[in-house]
Amino acid sequence: MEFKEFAKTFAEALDLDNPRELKESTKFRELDEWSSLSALNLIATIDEQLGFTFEEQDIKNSETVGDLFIISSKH
Amino acid sequence: MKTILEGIRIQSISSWLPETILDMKSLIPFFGEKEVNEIIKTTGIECVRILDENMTSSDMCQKACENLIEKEGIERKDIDGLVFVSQTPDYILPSTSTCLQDRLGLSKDTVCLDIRYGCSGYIYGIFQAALWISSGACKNVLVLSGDANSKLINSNDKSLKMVMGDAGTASLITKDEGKMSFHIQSDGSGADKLIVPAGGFRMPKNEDTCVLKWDEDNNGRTLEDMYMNGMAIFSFAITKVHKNILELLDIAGWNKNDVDLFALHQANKFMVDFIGRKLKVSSEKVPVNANKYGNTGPATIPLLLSDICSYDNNNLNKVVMTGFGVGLSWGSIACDLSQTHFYEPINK
Repeated sequence: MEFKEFAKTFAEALDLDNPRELKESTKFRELDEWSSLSALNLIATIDEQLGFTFEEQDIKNSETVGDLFIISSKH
Repeated sequence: MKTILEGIRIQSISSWLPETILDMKSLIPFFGEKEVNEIIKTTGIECVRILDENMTSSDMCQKACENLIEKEGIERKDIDGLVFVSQTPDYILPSTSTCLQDRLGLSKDTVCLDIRYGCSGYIYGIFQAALWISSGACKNVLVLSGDANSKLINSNDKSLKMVMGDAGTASLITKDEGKMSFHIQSDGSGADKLIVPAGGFRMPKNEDTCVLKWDEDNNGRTLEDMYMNGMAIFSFAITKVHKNILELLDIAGWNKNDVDLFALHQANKFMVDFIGRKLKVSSEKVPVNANKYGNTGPATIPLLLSDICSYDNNNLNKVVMTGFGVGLSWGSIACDLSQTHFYEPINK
């Protein structure tokens, strides 16, 4: 899976206004759309579209969208 | 744990709801419009019931039970077992179940047991009743399952206040020709994901445990209040629950497409719908009523059934009931509810 595909799913989960601006270096907690509720949407959308489930620790220990992409690539 | 027990049936189910309704929109002045609307949109929970200050879970269950005994016309002397499932008992000791034996006017030959479980608790209650009956120890067992979650929640914690509700239920389990399949699992490594840390004997209450602290999502609580790690619980539920159900179907020898109803613990609408999709079954077979009552812990499954099923003649030959949550613990039962009597929730 390429970052582009992951970013598309990430953007859809958070309902981002400008998904093209999403980069590997983007700090997801600084996004206006990020909240504990949108985190649940992210877990759900990744599970349904990419077929694996983020653990709480995966998100807790990540800082950027790229960090999450690396974890997702391992599955 | 996987097993099949024979000679048992759920004869009837009744439930009782507090009259006080907490409309989530009424919390806008406290938590903000954007926040409240987002939570309602995600959870699907529009309102919950809140128990009066001077009542307990056992009062709600007692009311549900009095209704069940009256409507079923069962003699109190014929009841020989009582299981009380709750995380909000009347006392540290004695067991609330023995208090209920007396308050309900049951025989002193009744065996009574408290089960301290929440969202998975109904499965444990039915399992215990089924064991007593299938072993020949009992003939008629009451499973009283309910929680006053509102008493465990800090009013500054929107993540729980906008999700958890109060309710009490009563189910009568009897000796019959039916059989039930069980699949129950546990993972204590997740004990801290849904917990009231203080007030037991590991962390007794003191001047520090009652100090209000705020988390990064601006939810306030003390160590004496319920805490839930929403992300961890959600990940747990969407990875474990459907697998538990599919393995249960193997034990029962059922095809998932032949199941008439999946009565899932009503954590919230989002989670129930999601597990339904993981199961790849028709959404009509996975009903939701969490929008009206929220998460009522061990009461959600019997409350759902008494809410959506008519008195009798339901096409419920193959029903799966599934609870999941605190522990962590999760489990399912496959059974026939086609002969079961359902009584509409009081104060619906």
